[in-house]
Amino acid sequence: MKVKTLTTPLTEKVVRGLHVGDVVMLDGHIFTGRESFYMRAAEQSILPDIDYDRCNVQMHVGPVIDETPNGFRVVGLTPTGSIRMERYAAGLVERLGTRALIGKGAMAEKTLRAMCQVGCVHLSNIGIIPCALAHSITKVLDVHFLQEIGPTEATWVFEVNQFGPFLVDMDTHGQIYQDRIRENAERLRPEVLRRLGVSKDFTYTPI
Amino acid sequence: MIAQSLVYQAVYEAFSRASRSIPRDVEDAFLRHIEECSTPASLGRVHLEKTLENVRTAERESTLACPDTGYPTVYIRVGRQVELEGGMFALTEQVERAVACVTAESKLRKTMVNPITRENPLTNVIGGMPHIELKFDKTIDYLEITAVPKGGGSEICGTYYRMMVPLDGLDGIYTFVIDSALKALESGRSCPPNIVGVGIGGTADVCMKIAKQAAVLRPVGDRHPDDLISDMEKKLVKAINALGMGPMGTGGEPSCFDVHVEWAGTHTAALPVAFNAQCSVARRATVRVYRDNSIEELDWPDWFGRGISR
Repeated sequence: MKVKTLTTPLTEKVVRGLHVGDVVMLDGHIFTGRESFYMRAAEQSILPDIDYDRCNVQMHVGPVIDETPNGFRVVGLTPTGSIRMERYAAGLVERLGTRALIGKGAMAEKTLRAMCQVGCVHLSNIGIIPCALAHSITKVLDVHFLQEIGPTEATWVFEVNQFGPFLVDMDTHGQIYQDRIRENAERLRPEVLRRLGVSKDFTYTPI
Repeated sequence: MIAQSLVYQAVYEAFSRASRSIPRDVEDAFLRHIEECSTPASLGRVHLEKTLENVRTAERESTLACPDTGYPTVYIRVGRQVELEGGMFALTEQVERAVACVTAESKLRKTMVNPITRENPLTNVIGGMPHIELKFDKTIDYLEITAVPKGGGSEICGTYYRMMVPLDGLDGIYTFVIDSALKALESGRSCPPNIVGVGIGGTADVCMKIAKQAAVLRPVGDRHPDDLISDMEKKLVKAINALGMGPMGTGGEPSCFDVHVEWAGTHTAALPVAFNAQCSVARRATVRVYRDNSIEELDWPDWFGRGISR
């Protein structure tokens, strides 16, 4: 596995140079945001006060973080399914100029179009590695809306070092890595059903 | 008479262990597939190796095998002669107390919310959560408590149900399972390789319940004692893996570690079928509480009360 290290803030040029199938690690700053981030931003225009030009990588995640007398301790984090954010992600990518979304699994057409236009990629986890990712967070820089929406949904800002690896699974050239996997499975489906003994013309009774 | 404090301790221990580790059967499945993987550098193999390595770190450092500890679910098998201090309602009280405590200790993420207001009490105790399922068994004389923190990926993107009619038959069952698998495996949303549970029969709710029990409570490698059912299980493992969706949906094999099928009596006019996927970090821990107030830790329960054929 050939791995590239990218340093944030990511530039448009670097992002447009990435292709699905590339594997990357991240150094620098990232922020987190999932359902509540999108709902509040899109429906109520409430955005965490972050310099989005400097901090332009967003991770879909609900980390487990302890509040200790010595500050926050990151227990573990792994990206959450990005497709759930499909309704609002395109609008936020356009508005904030996000260069990378980190999540679990690719998103759909609307987000892909915004990514191509803005210059943004989607990165998915390789393995479920909450311990390694937690170890790569060198500092919890800030947290927004912790009281209002709790630690799982709050927006955290992290300093990270060798954070990853992540698979580029949506790129600025309009490609989605998992599309060919699904197309292949759909092509195999009739043969798989035939081997199970399902008759070729089977359809469910319309009840 | 079993002391309430022991029930609390058993639930506490079970969730603590389940959240930081995977049971032995699941670890074996990881190892077997890593070894069988033909191309060492394939993404699928890296997924499996990294995930297993992480689970070992979590166990060593006593942190989380996966931060999405999901829906706190507890399955309790109650033996015939079992008496509980304070009556059976103590089960509900002690499960809620233990779940709130492991949540406060960050062994469970603060995940359960009100579905409409999205309010989060930060305890995982809200509106019927933690969920408890009880089963009574005249052949045992202990409490068998299994904690299953079931992740959102597999529950949100890996659960499907269809009411069919008897004439749809096996063709309908197989078509439904394969099409559900295609959706669950898409882009790794259900965190494959999955342990797939298939429920056939019952009412709509019973059908999904047994599908889920099949997925989360039976160990990988366990075969149904009925030849007809075990034959379906073996065929479906092959079929789902033949789709080539692979670990985290990035291609190759395996897409599933196992398929478990359960059935329940149903209406003569009905053929309900349900699909419930468990994620690869298939967390479960079982503790038996005996009437002499001793406890025993196990990797899986004997939920269906017919022994384990693994």
